[in-house]
Amino acid sequence: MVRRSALPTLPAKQRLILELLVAGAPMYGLELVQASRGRLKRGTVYVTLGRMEEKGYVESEHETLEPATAGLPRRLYRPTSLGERVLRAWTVLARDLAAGAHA
Amino acid sequence: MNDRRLPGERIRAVAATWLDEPSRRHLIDNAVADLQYEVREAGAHRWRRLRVLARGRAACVRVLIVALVFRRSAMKRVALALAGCALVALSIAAGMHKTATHVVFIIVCAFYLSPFVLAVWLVGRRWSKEQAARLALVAVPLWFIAGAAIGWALVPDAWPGSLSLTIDAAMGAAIYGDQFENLAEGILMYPMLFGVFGAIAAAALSLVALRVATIDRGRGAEP
Repeated sequence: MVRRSALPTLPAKQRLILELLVAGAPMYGLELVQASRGRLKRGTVYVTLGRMEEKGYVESEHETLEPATAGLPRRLYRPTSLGERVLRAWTVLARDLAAGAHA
Repeated sequence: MNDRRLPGERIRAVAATWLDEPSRRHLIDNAVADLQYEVREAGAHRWRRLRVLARGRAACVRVLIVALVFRRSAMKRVALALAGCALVALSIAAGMHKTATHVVFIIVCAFYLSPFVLAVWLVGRRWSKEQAARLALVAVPLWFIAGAAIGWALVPDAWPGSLSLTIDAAMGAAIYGDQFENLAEGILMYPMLFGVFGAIAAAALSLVALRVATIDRGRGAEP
């Protein structure tokens, strides 16, 4: 019997983030929010990104700050190969389901 | 900016007392890093800087609230704090009993117990079925006791006996007489009925917690 938790899932917001990351260059959280045109919120984007990192869909690294710059470094996110494969699979599945619904 | 506290440091300090280290690193630090970056970018433009600060701080507070609700370690603390608040408030409500009518007293108790309901809901959101079932095992007797305490507080002031005397009298017609025994049995119905009512409420809440725990596992499966 296949365990449900073993199947990769992709909620709408995670799919949007993967689409943005796959389509463009690696992005910071704030850049993702701006690129999503209001569909992602600053208050929740890092919760979503944290979950995606736990699932292995994205990976991140800290930006390099100038030595004289005070403050915390931001985190730069990029999709992993697993994330790209999951996005492709879910896109195909969604297309098939939509085609089946209209048939 | 060098000599002054950097923006967002206070929020990080608050987060340090409530969240575990991974949650702080992945959620709060990222939001604060965005805020500090935007403030750096705003440079010397006063109004732009103020706008960025207000927007960034609001976002950090939202992240903190989301982190408190959705992170398991924080939720346990929040749930414990809420349950503690409910118990303290219930004690205060019990003190009010002498000066309030019964209906008002029950409404006040229900109001003060609501944080406990919220605590159960919060815990139930992320707990597994087994953990929620264990919660039910603890919640049912606890709510029976809480209900019985409320019921005992509602006993008319004219009744002279303590709880132990009432139980004793309800079972000892030979010592206390039939009339007093019947009266004691009637008085005992207050804590008994309220206790049973509390236990039913706890069982119902636990079922909701179990249901929520099940729904949470299935979330996000849509293409």
